[in-house]
Amino acid sequence: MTDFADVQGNILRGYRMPRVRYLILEVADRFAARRWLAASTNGNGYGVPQITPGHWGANKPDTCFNIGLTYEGLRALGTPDASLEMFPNEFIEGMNARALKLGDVGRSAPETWPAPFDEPKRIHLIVSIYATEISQLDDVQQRALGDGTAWRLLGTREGCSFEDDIVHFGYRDNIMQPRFDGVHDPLRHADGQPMAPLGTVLLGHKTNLEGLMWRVPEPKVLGHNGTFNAFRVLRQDVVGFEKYLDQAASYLLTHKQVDEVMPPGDEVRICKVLSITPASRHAALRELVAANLCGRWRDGTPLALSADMPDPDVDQAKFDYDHNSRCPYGAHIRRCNPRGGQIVQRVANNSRRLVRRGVPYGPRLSGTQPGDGSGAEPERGLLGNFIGASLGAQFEAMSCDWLNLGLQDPRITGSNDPITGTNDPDTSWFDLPLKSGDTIRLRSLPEFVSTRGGAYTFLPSLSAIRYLGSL
Amino acid sequence: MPIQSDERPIDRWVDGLPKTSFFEFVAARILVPFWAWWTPVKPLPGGPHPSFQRGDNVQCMMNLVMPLKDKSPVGRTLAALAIAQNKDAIYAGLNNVGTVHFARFVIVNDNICMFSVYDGDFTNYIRDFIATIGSVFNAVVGLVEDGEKVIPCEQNVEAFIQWVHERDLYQVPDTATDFLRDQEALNGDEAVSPVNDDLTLLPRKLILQLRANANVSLGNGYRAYPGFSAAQVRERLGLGW
Repeated sequence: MTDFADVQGNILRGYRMPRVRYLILEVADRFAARRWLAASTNGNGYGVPQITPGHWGANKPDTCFNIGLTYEGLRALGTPDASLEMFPNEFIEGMNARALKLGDVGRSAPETWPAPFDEPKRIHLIVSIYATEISQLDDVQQRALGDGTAWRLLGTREGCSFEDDIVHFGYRDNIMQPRFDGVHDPLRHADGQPMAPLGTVLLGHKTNLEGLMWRVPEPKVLGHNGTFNAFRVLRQDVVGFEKYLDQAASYLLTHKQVDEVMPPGDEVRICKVLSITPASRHAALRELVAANLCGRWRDGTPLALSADMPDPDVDQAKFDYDHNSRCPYGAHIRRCNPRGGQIVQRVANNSRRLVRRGVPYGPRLSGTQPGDGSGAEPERGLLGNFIGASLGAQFEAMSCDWLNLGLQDPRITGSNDPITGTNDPDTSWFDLPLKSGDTIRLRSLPEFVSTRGGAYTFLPSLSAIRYLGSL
Repeated sequence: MPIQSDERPIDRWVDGLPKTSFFEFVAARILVPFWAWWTPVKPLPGGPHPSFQRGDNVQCMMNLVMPLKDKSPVGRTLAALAIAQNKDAIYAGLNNVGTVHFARFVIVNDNICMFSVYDGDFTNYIRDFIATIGSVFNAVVGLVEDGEKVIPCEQNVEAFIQWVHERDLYQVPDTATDFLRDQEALNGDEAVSPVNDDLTLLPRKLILQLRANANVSLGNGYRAYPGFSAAQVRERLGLGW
């Protein structure tokens, strides 16, 4: 039986707090940093903030506090070499070194990342603070940094949720996360997917690949119940996205099969459900393109259940991709998680799932219409955490072979994810499926999402944090 | 910006040596070992060069050369039997992994070699194979030097993948400048940029690399047609995928 009070809370549950601040820290003094780690789990309500565990009893805390250590951070703390060598290669090398696998090229290349991500070896600890008010974030930050003897602050990143779980690009998010054996009630919130074994997200437990176990760094107290996180700062070109929807809708309006894409009259109902005024065929086609690129209408309706128009009454989590599914093979959510649908790598269905914790940063674009382009747009994006017990088998495998090569289906091989992929307008394409089985190929998708920083971190159990504190 | 040169006086001296059989004999037995001692070279890592170009990420080559423990006809026979006994499992693995064009097993002297052409990322390819036919890997790798450290592969996934990667042959690039870049990349954080592209140093660097890395692949395979994935080929031929 897993002791969830020993697992960091952000792994198995979403805190549902609107504000998040990340502190990116470097060890200032190894011995002070160890004392800080020990203090973060000692149960005292003052001084160093306490790590939020997976089980907090009856009272939800007002703020939550979690940490992730990089490989360089573990080294800086003096973790024994024998333990360090047992961590997986991708974690040891770090996110920057894995740029080609992750599609971090061109303007996403690590060489272009701003501080503090331009000096990856100095990043040792990433602290996550979750709260409702900025004043709470400030208070916890002050307590975390203390007098500065343990850690040196290299930088911060801060995000804030929008109302109704909407994120940049206008989609509803936070619809579902993997549900784990022994953690979630299989009868509640059923999503049509098999329950994920706990080894999907925690080291030392059974994984989704039958008989396979990921290596647990020793001593056992260090690795067991820990996991890995790909922390990513992802800039989103919201204006560019809306402009592309305009272009694509205009193109479809002139296409001879436009009535098959959207039967006349449907635009009124689509605009009504999505509260778009004034209703027009062009406006509805924009939404249809947005829905196909993602695999969900912007209100969260999966195309697998309702491809012709959004439907507020469907269960947004429970669906699958059968042979008759009209969700495009290349749609973002289908690429990330093909569920039970046919894929080339049959053994990989359900094996690359990740826990995703993301929060938008930057101001929300008002409305859906792009600006006139005269002023510089503020930076917007997502502060994302992609959590899994194997970065290589889950996050990197998904990023490399599925998002950016399309290897899982021969009909999309050679194309990138339409929303998050490293697209070049000269070569990019996306096939919009029609009821007849034909497709209309949309071209010239630009890169809507680019990477502005990140790091691979290890999220140790509370026992492991105590162990590191006692080195 | 002037390019740093690592040419030394001894390079110029060697350039001036006569190209007679005698000097070639002396160079192979005295000069090269001395130079390898004086400027040690690490073996370059195996497998395809990391790339983001789509065409480079399908039909990738794996050239695995594994020295047998038992270097006798009996050892070679055991290796041959291990493959023959697992033929059905190998076909099942090819079907379930879905990204492999073909796989060949060859015995060359005291090595069992596995040559394959696969799509996508190397670690995903090996991991998926472990998940489907790990027992075949265990049967073969159990006959190979140092293989016992990484079997059963299902319990040593990361170590097994690394072990295979270390035995995958370095793919010597087709262009001299790419080779020089690979060589410089071995210096990690101390690598200089721009890389010294002095081609007069190429023979020395290549000789030292081939001394450290006796088995290599020349190029990364030459295709007669652009890269397609195994599933694309199957789909176009109506074979199902």
